Amino acid sequence: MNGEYSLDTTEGMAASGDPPTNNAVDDYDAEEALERQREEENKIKIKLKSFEGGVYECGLTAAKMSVMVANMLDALQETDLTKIATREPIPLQNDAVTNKALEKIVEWVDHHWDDPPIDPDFDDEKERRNEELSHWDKQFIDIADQGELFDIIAAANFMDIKGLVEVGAKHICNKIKGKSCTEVREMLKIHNDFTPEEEAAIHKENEWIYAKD
Amino acid sequence: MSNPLSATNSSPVMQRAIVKLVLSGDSLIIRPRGQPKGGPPSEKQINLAHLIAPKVGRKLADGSTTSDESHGWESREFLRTKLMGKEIQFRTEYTIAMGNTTRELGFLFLGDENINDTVVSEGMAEVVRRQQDEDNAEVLRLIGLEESAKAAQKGKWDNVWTKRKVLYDVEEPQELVNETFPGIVEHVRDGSTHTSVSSEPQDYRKDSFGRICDDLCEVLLAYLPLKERFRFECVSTQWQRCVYTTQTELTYDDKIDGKCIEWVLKKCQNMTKIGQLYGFINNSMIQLIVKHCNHLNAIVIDVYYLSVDTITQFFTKFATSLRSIKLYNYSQYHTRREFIDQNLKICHNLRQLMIIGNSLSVVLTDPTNDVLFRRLNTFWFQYMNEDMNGFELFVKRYGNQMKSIDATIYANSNEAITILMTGLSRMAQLKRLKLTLYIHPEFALRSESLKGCQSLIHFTLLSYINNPECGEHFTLDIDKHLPHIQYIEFWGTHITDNMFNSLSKLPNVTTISCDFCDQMFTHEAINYLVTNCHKLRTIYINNRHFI
Repeated sequence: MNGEYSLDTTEGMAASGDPPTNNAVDDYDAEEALERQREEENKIKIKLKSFEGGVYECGLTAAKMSVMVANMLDALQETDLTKIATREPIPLQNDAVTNKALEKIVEWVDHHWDDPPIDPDFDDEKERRNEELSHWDKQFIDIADQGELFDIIAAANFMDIKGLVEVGAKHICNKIKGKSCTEVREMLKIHNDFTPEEEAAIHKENEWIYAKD
Repeated sequence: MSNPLSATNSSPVMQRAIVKLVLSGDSLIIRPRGQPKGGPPSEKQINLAHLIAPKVGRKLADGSTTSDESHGWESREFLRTKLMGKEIQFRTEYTIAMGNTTRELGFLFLGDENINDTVVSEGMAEVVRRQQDEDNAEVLRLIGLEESAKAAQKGKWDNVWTKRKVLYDVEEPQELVNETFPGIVEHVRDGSTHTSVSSEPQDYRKDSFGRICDDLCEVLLAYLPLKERFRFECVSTQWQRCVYTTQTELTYDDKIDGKCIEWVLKKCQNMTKIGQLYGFINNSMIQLIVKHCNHLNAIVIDVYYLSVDTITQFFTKFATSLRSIKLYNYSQYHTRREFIDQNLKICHNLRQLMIIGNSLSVVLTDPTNDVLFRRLNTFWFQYMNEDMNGFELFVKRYGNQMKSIDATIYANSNEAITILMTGLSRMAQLKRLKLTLYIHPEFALRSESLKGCQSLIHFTLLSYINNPECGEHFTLDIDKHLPHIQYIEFWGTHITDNMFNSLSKLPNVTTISCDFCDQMFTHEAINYLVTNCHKLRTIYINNRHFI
């Protein structure tokens, strides 16, 4: 989990008696410089190639929201970023990355690339979980064709775009909330591989949740 | 001769594990359950006792290959589709020395199903007849099952010779590029390398959730409320495996009372945070937490209901892993106080500490002037006039490492407030600050007195007293003193044009929230605010409600 090592910076700091440091100010200048750099880099367009062969253009900073793409770009060890733009398109070798899915993914990262980063000091999982999807995300992910929806989620998972997988997950959880197991199976086309006995046993085990408070 | 209660049978130790890889119809690799910690999980090979399945062809170390025995592939696929990725239980019957290693053979259970029995019944393996097993009831039962399978011509007894032709090396690998093959991933070595075996097309539909792998399934179900998880466990075996793994917190909102908590803790093995619960945390609940939770790092406890024994059990198990603790009714019992202090002292990894009572005295108990909690960064405390000296000492010891402070102020002397503000202003790393005022209205709190908090991005000011100008006073020149503020919240103040004009100079502000406030501002002021703060995303304004 994220919080595990994030706080260790405080360790080893002599806490008693030291005057407060002014590092914080430098941190802010550095942060602002980084923000400007991200903005500049996003003006550089790179090409991504879907499993079906379609090529899509995407801002560099936006594309780097995919940890997989970021790692591939790092592996190139290209110091002159503008050269990245003229390179061959980056192939995404997973059958979930269809033309349609990649087009949508590029749309998503282009909208979200300047999201404020999560502060590791206050990465409150519960808070993030309860946070509702923004209006934009809701409209983005409300896709009638379930095959396409699963393509986008699976492709985002393959490309390691955490935020987009989260949007997909929240959308699916919202859709199935309050439904019966049969309805969920029908909706998501899930094959029930329990025997009736097994299913009854689980049901009995979990009976307590139906008890009145 | 044979004793039915021989050592191996009388004390069956059931190991629970996950099937990682199926090698053949009678051998597999298992790994421990739960999230791997600090490195790859330990794994081992186990074999089904008393059975021998037809072999699957493989490539040997010297490059030569062996071919399949008849039905070898079928037998392996039978076991693979049944067990892959599932949680099983395994009971070792006997071991065989194989060179330097020892092979474990035993009975494997999937739920209540005895897999050794199933494999024999389906004709996927033969029973090994060993002299020493002549009177072994289990072996006799297996032989009986084997006879029925033979009679029914099941599996390998069907008199049909089936074998695969295996192509281990591809002569012209380039020709395969851009071709797609249906296949089974045989073994994932790491994130980007795997062995796969091509076979007939897998039958899944693009619009079926069945195409989603377990890892992704866990993430997709992570946003379900707790009780929905219990309802959805019986959607499919995949959901049964995945639906509980991401439940890591238990809170009041989950509405789980004492009677049901054991069910929850048993199934949700990755629980890390247990908050204030629906109903009180009593002795038996803490004992259940000690029994079932292995990853706990945060808890809220009401000391009032707990015995010394229970508290000891709790801290014995969790002291070093605890990162966050909130204690209620701490100062109610002086006899227990000292005892709790001693236990808290060994929680070296605490990051967050909230003690309803007197937090300051707890972190300062050590007279040797040592920092008890080197990683402490979030602190909740109540501040009264007599806490002045304690707070000064606290700032000396912990001021540099604080990232979040929540102070409820009951102090009213000017001296006490000055000390508080000076202390807070020395916390250069502080990112979040919440002040709750129960003080005399003459005191005007100004952002200027916090100007040392250069990291502050999140500020909340709650006023439970008649102090209508506190918002305007605080925001005066705020852009000069606290320029990095992103989130600012007020409760119980007048909102005026001056206040909005000051806030409009904050370049980074994204959220402004004013609850229980009197609205004294004009539309021009709010328009000015919106046009000047480019990053502003949320303004929440709620009127004062008179009761």
